[in-house]
Amino acid sequence: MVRVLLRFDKELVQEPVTSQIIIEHKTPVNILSARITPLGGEMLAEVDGRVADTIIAAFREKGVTVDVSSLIERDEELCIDCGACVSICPAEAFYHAADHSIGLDPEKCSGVTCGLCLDACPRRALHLTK
Amino acid sequence: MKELVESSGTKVALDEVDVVTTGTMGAMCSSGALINVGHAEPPIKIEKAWINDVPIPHPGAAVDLYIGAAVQSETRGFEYGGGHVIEDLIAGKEVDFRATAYGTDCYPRTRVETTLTKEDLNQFTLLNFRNGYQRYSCATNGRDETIYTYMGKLLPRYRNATYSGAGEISPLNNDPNYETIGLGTRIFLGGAPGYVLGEGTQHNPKNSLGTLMVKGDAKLMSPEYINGASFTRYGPSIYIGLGIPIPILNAGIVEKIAVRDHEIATGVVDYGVPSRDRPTISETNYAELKQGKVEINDRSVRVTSMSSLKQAHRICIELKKRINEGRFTLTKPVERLPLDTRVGPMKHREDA
Repeated sequence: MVRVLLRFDKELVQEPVTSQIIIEHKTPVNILSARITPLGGEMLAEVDGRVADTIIAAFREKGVTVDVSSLIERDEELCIDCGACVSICPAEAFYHAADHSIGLDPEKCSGVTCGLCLDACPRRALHLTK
Repeated sequence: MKELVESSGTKVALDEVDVVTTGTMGAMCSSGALINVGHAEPPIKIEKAWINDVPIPHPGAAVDLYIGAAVQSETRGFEYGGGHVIEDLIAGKEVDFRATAYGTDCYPRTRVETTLTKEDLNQFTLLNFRNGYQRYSCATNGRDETIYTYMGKLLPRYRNATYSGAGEISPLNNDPNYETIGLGTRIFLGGAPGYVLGEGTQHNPKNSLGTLMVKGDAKLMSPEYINGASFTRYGPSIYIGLGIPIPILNAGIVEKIAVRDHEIATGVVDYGVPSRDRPTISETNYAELKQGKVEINDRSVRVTSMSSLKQAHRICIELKKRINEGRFTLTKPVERLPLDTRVGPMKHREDA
């Protein structure tokens, strides 16, 4: 499965874009989390890896901004491996690794639709992917 | 060492090991740096001073200042504070310095503005009133709303918990009777040699809550072990890397050093209650805490460290290396830490 972050602007929010793509391409789009208002929003979804390129292209064609990179970026220079981000994360994306460093599993992160860890980091080492 | 005592017993460990290194790196708000900025021409008796817009208290004579780690910037608020100033200076960065004064016959100047690096300071001494807490409470939050504390961000209704301290590798847990730690003990402080000055403030040995007052030459320290921190809606602070070597002088010390995480108990405390006497809602220990789960009201709750266990281990290894290479030598304390100190509450009126 490929995780994609879909950003909808004010105009697009009025359209049933995701439903249209599911019907047109006869493929499921699994919505993991979403934050949508009449002014726009973001949706984190999972699509089958075999059709990911087609689905991403279809979303882009309809005007949706699609981001497939990691959702939270960590500044390794600033991080001191304290762990303030670990227990706060509902997706359990952060973890204590065997060498006591703090690991980040980008596959689990809900990114902009969550963001709970951002102001929990005392080193301000965490940022949302722009 | 701990494994050695478990597998081979006290006697073998006593014969084979000379020194055990301990370490911790956590947020320690009661820290700061004493600086002497030298005299201007004409000279100034500083009344108020700022570095990078962080107010720097002036506790004494003309140009001695104390950078308090937990003081916040007047322009950037909690995002930048004294802890960041100390880290920036240690890292060799240039900082903006300004000061004002009322002017006296002997110190006529009333204002000064300049840039400084650590090389421009006569003294730059890390001087921390309370470091190295033996152990600490585990924090959680029973309120209906998220709260932001010095123990980090705590989600509503006990949805997460945080703790601090390195447990079995933390200095004071390995010498709970302070047989080898006291005034004059040479330590690893921020990557440089430092010294224990005595008991830290709120030193509470009877409850296994001993603390240390320490100093060290910050010009020799490294930004790898001294880091400014910002706690949302609480304020700035500083992470201090602290290591203490414990000489294995007798079998009694071996037995104490064998302490394991599961033997170091602490309480889970509800920080949602804004009181000096926050309720303890369950008991735990450092083994459980390090495994990442703690029981609260019969539910398993995720718990994580606010201090850096990775850095604590790194300090133990680095200190061991320096001792082996002869770059760090141990000292005998001139005076041991007290075992009977009392910690009292503030005396104040109900209405003010």
